[in-house]
Amino acid sequence: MEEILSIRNLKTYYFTRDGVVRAVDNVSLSINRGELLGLVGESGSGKSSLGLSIVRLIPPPGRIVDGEITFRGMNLLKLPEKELRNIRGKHIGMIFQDPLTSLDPLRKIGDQLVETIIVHTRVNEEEAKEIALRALERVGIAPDRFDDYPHQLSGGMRQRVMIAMATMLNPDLLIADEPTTALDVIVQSRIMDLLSDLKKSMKMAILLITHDLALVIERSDRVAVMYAGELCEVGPSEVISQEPLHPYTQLLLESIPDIEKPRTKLVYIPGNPPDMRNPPTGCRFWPRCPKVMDVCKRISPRSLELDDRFVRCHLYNGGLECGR
Amino acid sequence: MYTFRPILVKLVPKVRLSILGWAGAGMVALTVFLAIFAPLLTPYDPTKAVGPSLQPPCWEYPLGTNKIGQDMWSRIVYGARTILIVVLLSTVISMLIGVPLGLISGYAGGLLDRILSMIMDAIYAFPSLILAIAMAAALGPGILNTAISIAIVYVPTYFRMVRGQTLSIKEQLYVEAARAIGANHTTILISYIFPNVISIITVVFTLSVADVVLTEAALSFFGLSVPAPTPDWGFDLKAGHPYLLSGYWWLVTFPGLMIMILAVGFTFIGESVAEYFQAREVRT
Amino acid sequence: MIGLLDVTYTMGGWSVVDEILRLIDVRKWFPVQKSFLERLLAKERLFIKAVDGVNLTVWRGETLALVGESGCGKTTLGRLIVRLIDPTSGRIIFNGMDITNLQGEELRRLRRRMQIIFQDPYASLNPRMTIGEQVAHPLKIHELAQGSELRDIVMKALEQVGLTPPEKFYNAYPRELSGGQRQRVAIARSIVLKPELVVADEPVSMIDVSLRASILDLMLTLKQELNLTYIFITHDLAVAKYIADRIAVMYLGKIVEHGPSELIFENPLHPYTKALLSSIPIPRPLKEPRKVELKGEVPNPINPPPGCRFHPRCPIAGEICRREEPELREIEKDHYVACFYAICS
Repeated sequence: MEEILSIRNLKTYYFTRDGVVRAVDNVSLSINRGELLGLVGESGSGKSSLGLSIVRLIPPPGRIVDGEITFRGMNLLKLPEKELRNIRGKHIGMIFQDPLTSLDPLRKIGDQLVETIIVHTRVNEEEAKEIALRALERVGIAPDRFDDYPHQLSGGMRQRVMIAMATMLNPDLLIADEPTTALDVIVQSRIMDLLSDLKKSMKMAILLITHDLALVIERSDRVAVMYAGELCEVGPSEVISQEPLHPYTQLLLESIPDIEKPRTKLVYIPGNPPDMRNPPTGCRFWPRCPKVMDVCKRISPRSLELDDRFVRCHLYNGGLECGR
Repeated sequence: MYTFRPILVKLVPKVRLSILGWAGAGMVALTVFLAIFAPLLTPYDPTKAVGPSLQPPCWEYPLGTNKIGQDMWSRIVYGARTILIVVLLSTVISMLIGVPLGLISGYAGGLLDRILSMIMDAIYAFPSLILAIAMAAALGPGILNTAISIAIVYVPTYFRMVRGQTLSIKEQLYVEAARAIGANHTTILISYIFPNVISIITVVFTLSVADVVLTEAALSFFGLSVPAPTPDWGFDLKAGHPYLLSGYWWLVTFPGLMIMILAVGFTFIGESVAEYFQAREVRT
Repeated sequence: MIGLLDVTYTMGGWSVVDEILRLIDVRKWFPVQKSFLERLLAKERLFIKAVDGVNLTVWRGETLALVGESGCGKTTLGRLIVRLIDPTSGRIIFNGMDITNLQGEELRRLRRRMQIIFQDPYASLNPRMTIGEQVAHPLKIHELAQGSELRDIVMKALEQVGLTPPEKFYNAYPRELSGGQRQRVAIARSIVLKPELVVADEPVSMIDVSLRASILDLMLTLKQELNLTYIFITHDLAVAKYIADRIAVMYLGKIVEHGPSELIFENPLHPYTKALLSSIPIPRPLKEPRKVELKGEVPNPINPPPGCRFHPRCPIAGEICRREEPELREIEKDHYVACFYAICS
């Protein structure tokens, strides 16, 4: 499997008046060509900041403090702005949660697509329109909607336009930050079907950032779980869903109501996510962990990599309990 | 131990000022200091002729004397009182009229809102100075009358801002929640809408008070403010300017300087406060 | 008075229960704002038919989940029930009393008996009142307690919703609390008057998944302790399954199916319900893309399709569906469906 994006020791901090928020703290992650990696986390996990860091769109007072992000052999964090702009939109596409705020309400969607194409390629307007129409067709939007304004489309359709815009230039990687959260479950299902199709047909990797663990396990090839700015566990979705190693992953799985199973007591994780300006010392999950040990409170766990899995937890530091 | 929260503490929002804001606060504080400690700072009675006419600044009369022989320093110091009282009074009157009307108009909507808004827009459309002058001429001299004249000019500003804020707060979920627990309109206005409007009142206040200072100075320049012997910077400005070309610079410089310091001071504070609240909006 | 009393099965077992709420052909049409010119030229007024003919009975002591996607009218219906908005037509009967047209003082007194919890814990609390003041406020408004007695009631309510130690929260402001904590405050505020009926409008959809169960369990506990009846509005069928005795599915302003929770999940009869159920993500990897056989988008509520509102998207729509609107019929015990082709399998 070929790696197309490699994140090493990424640190993204927000320097607010009330303190430093260590939103992404020493995270290393890689994405392979054509795979769907689901990045799961709850509020305060830093997952969105991770996505934004890749394309260097972290808003002030945030800043990427350390780390390396390698894409196509280049370190994105050291790239001059001009070359980065070339990559954004053409080689790395991004879609966000709310398409209403990502699309210009005053311009027709067709025109917005065409403009993006022209900015990134050398084609003329005729050819750009061709590409745009094909892109819209690919996401299931009829060509007669080319001249519509965003408000004339439903939420699901707007998100499809966003997907069209982000994928029409055949990027290697699509970063999708909560693309379906604002959508109804039926529409969500269709959008996810679309993304899977595109992934296959274009050999495009997708980084799916979401809080919905069920969605991620259903659709992703691999799952990465983040908590309070740190990676807890990464692995193939089948393996993670059946044999979660990290206590947070286990609890998270148990807290998802599964409609195919009979009604059982739902689990919840006691406590609250930590204040990111002052996270707990040691492992950040220890105040809420049912398997907490003394060492967890003092020392941050080392990562353990095994085949295609990765986990950061003192329970597995010995390397013997993995059961693989 | 139900902690008693003084209403004042609740009403005065906690604000962080920038450097500019502190500079402005300093300027205003200087004026307030002069006003409060006036008797201790001045050796002379500002309303009486105490020395030779048109004396330049010297040891006895630090800022010189004017045509009548009054000590300029004393007049400046006591003038601070005059202007601050008028400014404070007119601001209070503006608020007392503009804020409740804005709340009610924004909350009630409908015909009442339309009519009040039209009236306020009409007043607002008037050039502020002309309106103030007209009112002052009609009401006559005196501190209260001057305050009222100025107040009328700024009522529409408080009205519009409060009304606008009320309109948006009215749609907030917590106001709907208040209705859901059975609050009547009065309770909603007082406990749910008004406390969330205070921040905008503060902004309006800090941004407009500089203007009020200048309006007062202008009115007194035209002799429409407080009656004659009362020390007043604008009046001194008017009284002194005929002599400027003859070289009697101290008659005009110091009152003018003080007016500027006070107005600029308030402006700096106003900008800083407005910036603070804007930043706060973004943060949420 | 048919159906005022019934024998039904709730979480506790068989019991004779009475109706706490009955909705009769309730409609809420929102006029579409048009520009002056449009009003001048157009002949007819347009309406957003958010709720368009809902008939529903809610039994005392049950948890009824009102399920549907955005635009189906469930939120509007919730607000109609607690009379935060006035129905355009139809009747709302609460405890045998017609509350459809209550206004003013009577309406405010009604508030003591029915309450609502909103979806957004960040927006439903007054940012300028302390937690203690907000939870105390309903009692103050209805003059039910004051002074130290009031304080005691509030402290007890804070404890009941899990905000301990209550003293710490009593003087805090909403901005100092997390989303989950704020929602608990909202719950405390809603129970402090000891209402009979609580409408919960998506109370956990803005809460982290790992914390939802704690809020849901809290609601269930309170229901036992205070003999509450819940109308639980949600778009998340999985949450509905966890908390509801009965489920009513809404589409484009009408109820298309309702029945006991288990029946709805084991044997969904309406094609829309089936599509909904099959779209919910389950935490197991999908072998191939899940093809939901539902074409098109939710139509505009200004102009619902003729006949059965669902027919343009329905995989089994027939001729009759385009012409006539199906009524809710009881297909199996307590399980009602509005579909011409629904049969008991």
